[in-house]
Amino acid sequence: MKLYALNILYKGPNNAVWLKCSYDLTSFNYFQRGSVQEFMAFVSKTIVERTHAPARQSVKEGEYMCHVYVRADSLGGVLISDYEYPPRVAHTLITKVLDEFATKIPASSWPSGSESSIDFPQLNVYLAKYQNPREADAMTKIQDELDETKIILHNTIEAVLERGEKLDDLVAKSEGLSVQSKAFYKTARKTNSCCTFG
Amino acid sequence: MQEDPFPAAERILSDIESVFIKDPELKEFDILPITLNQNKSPVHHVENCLGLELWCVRHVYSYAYHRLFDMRQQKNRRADPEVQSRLLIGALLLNPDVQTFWNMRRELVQACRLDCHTELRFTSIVLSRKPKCSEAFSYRKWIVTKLVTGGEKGQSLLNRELNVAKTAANRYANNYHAWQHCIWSLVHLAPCDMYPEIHLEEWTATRIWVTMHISDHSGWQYRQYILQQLCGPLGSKIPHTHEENYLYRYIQPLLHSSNVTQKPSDSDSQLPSAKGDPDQPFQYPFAEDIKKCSNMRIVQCLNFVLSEIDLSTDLITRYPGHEALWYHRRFLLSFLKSFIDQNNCIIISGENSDCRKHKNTFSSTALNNYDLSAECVSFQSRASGGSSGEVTSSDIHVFEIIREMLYLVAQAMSKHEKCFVSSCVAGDENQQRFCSQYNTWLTQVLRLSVPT
Repeated sequence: MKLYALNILYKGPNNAVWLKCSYDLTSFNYFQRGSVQEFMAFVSKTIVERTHAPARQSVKEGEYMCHVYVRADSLGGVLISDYEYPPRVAHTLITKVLDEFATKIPASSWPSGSESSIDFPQLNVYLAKYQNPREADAMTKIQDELDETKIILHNTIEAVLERGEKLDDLVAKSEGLSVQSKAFYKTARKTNSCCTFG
Repeated sequence: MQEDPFPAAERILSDIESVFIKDPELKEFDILPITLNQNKSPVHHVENCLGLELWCVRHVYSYAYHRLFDMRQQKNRRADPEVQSRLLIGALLLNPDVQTFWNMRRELVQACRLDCHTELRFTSIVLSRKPKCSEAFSYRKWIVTKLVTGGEKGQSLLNRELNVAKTAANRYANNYHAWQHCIWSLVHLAPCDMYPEIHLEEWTATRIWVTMHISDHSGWQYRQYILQQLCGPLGSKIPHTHEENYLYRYIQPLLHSSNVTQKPSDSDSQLPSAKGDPDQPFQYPFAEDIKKCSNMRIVQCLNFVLSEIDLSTDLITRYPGHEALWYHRRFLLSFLKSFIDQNNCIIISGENSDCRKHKNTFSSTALNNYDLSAECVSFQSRASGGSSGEVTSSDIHVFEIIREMLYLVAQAMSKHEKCFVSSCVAGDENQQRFCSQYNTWLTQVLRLSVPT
């Protein structure tokens, strides 16, 4: 059970922008962390842009799960976890974080906001605290309100993309990914495409 | 031979080797996805981590591979051990699945050309990139055995072995080789009869690990191994800790919740059947007598199993739809059943009374599948507290109490499982499937009969 990333984004008319990001990548090898972080940021942005507000989605990709919630006011939250982490708790956490964010940071500053201009240190605290869902605080109230049937489930990230779109193409033309991360993505794809022992 | 060996390979290999020599704190090795030669050294060394750029991997590996196999084929022509070791470091970091390379390192160790402790460090770095490499683990076992034969204390080696294996288990889910390495280390470095407290520590520590890795079959398997040790013949020296009275923690609540009644026609005292009143301290038949046994080992063992069943219940309800949790529960239930059956055998043979009579009485209950095999006799001395000699009347009384308690626990467990199954039938699709499979297993394989 592991949480890797918790990101808050604003979904503008043309594209989404990151407002605040938090990562826990200690379980990855040192040299992979940079690329993994870039890639998780890229996935967060891509997925928020393709979620029609208001909606909740949970996307499975290999051993990872990407949970996304975009509110009616275009504020979006993305949580990337492993497949063991209960989706219900994941969405509860996103809801809670977005609520708190909306009360702390005025909506008028969202469209022009950025990682450096927004002060919301609670994000890191939440990411750390919710690593173990058993120890996360009593969230019964929101859990009752959260209707699990409203979460749209997808078995692959390709299912979230618009018709004709390919993840490989999106990666290739992304400006947010460094050359090294794109190479990392390619090797990872190759490794995962066949069964390997060891 | 290769037509044009990669000229920089020798240089890159010695760079890698010098990082190993220079940095005793080295933690990790990985390949960096840099596909173009930028005319700089492809060897990176940052924050105790060693990285090699992707573009040169092929050339370096091919160079090392061919040179090593050339050496291997011309064994009599003496190869310089230092060169050989350097080539092996490079080759094994890039591809640790080649047994021949590990064997060549074994030969160097045998010839006292390599130090055992340095070898352990090297293997842990190989495992940082390939945490599931069984060759690396078996090489470690070989080195550790060699060290122990050389007179090193097993216990000092144990911690390092457990740490390395658990780091690998964290890196790769369901890492059978890693958890098997933990079991091997316990068996060979700290057997349960000599190091009971280490087993108890592992029992506590893995409890946290498994709750964070609920679908890790191999992690659960390790825990099953420890449970078997704690409750097995080697676990008799397990110290009594944390709970001052084992009875109150799990056994009494279990009996209470399922509201079992005493076994009919097999006891002298005919107490009225229990009522489940939560405000009153629960009084089941023999309650006072059972309290006297609260420090007995059998109660301690039952407590281990029941606490694990309790954890299983919590995790299955909290995280629906994970098959590994259901399989662990099957293990626990069959373990509990055979534990009860086995101890009933001991008691019956210990009472040295008319076995047939008891067998008949039991045959109508949930515990009817025992037989008085030779194996049971070996447990006899344990049950009667070490004195395997004569059986006194007070012993017989204790036997009766324990038998009663075991009966009650078995009956309560049957009820408990049926309740548990019916509480899981709703919700998640996978959960429903696992639950109904478990239910079938309970009745058809475990042959659990539900008391009415």
